[in-house]
Amino acid sequence: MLSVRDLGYRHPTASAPALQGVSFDLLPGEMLLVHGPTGCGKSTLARLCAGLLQRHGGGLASGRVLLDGHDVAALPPAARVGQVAFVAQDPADQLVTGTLGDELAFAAESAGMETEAIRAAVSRALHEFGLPPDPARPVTALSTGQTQRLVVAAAMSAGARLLVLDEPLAHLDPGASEALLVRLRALAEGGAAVLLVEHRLALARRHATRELALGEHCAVSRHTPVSRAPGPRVATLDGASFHYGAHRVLDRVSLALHRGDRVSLVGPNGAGKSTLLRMLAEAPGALPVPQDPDLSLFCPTVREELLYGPAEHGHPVDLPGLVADFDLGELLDRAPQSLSRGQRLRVALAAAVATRPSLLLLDEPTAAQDPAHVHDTMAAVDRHLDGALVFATHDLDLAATAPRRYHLREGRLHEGPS
Amino acid sequence: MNDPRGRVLLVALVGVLAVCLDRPASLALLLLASAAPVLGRPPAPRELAQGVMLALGIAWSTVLSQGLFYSEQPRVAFFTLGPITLWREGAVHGLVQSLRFLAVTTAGVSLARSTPADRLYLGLLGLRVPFGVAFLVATALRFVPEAAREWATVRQARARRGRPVYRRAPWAWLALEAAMLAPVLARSLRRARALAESLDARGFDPAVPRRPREALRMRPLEVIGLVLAGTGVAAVAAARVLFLLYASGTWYHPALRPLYAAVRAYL
Repeated sequence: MLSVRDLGYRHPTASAPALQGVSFDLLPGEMLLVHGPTGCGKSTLARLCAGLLQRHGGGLASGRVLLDGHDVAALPPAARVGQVAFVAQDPADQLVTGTLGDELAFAAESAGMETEAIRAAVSRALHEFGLPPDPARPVTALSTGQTQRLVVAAAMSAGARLLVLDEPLAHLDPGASEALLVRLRALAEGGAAVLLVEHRLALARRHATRELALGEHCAVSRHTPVSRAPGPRVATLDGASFHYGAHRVLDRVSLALHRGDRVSLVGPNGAGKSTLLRMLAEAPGALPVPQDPDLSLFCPTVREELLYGPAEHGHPVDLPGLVADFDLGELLDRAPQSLSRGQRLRVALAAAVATRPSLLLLDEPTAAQDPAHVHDTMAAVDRHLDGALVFATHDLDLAATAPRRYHLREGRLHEGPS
Repeated sequence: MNDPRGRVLLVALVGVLAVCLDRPASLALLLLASAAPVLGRPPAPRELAQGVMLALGIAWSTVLSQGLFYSEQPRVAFFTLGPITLWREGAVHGLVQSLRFLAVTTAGVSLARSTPADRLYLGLLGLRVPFGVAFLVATALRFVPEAAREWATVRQARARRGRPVYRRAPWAWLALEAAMLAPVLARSLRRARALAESLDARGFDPAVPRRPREALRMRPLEVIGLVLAGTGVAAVAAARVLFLLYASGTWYHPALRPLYAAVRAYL
């Protein structure tokens, strides 16, 4: 089905190729797991296989990507959508319409399917992907996990036989991740071919039929934060509840946080983790890093970004220590917005801890990062932060490193792993 | 008016009226009518206050600039302060221009606030707007509130890391405000790229017409309302044209004297 030969790609402004010499075949019934460290070219490979980077990247591609013997990038969009489905990393950025029904119907409409067939496909997708049943529901009303499921379902709605997915589990809780992988495996067993780029290897390996490792494997250094003597209290929730309309998101939640605490928070999509973090953000001296850390980077250079908080508050900063621990040595004079996704995340976290908050709140800080980078980055945060840290995550391995662990279920906060 | 085609046509009619009307009182009424859908489902008090402040700012700056630099004759001074004179005719002209602008803008905002982007897209397709243009308009409108939310997030993130923006020199305040637009612009560019790829991956082709899943049906009352509104606006436009012909000395008919008087008094 898919034949990749000696594939390479150099981005327009890059001095070195992002990918070179990659060859493999993907046959119907196979589910190929592609993994490797951050920046090794996994997303580049996925976009080339979907025929998109050749059209949108502006860089230099070499080698061939053939789908049933045809150059995938040369297929007209209406023909390609019935053969290749592609899901990129950020689910919210891939929404092309305003409602669930329109989103699910878009690819099918492009493929020229009959109206009745499109309606049936929309209903089936809503059911199979566990989405809200009302097709007129606005896409903005969905949680991040639901949005992720929606973009996967929408990409597949034209009945493509090759599915290319770039980290589709990044925003899903373990239950939803498993359900999606089961669905992908079923599609593969039904004759489709699946190319899955993923960092969450433990989950993905249970379903993949083959693996392709790109770049050098990094040794995953496990970081375990040191339990510290509790300092003064920095935030308290005492029987706090929160409602969205008639829906109770948080139900009588109590939590006391002290300086030096390291707290992880897990729970299924929509359990209220982000809401709980927003309530904790009301505490004096609390610093929430936005779920999209790009939105906290507003200085012209990385150096100024790191110095901004300390300069504003008039306290010293361990710049060499931050640079070394967050691996920012080569980046100090670069514009933060010009960096890669993982680099931007490290700058945002380093700038946050440099501000010396009494309470640092991270919402899914490590989504779409490889395990080695995740643990190194969290170790750096732990080393430089005197205040309390609360982080919400779907990564159960990462959550297990925190001395205090909580999980949210049906609005109630429980101590311990879920 | 539930049908999105009707709403788009109403905004177009507001545009025609804004051009035809020339009296501040009439334009103020048109502005109020344009704002009715917003006031029917009022935004948060802070948003409403910001909107009113912006409108007042636009009106005030236009009145002032036109009043100061009005050069037509005859003109009457409102007041004179040394070399600066505010001319009454210029101020009235500025008021008319700002009310025109605000009436049309408010109608557009009302449409955007009260009509989901997908309904607007269907409405534009129903009015035979080319698919690519309709999709472009609906998508652009969908991302305006998104960009506003992101800008608010950047401001909040900055506020958590530093002093209030106003506790610094005015130029530093302005520089900081400008710097806070950078992440929103960068985010918008990344989103645009991701959206383009997503559209391509889902077979989007602006040159190929698409069949909407949902057929729009306009209710009889909506049709009657639109016909009446259209007829009324056409009558106003015709009266304005006849008045312009008379005022420019091109064509005059004595039987139309009451019409000329009405245009002068009310339009």
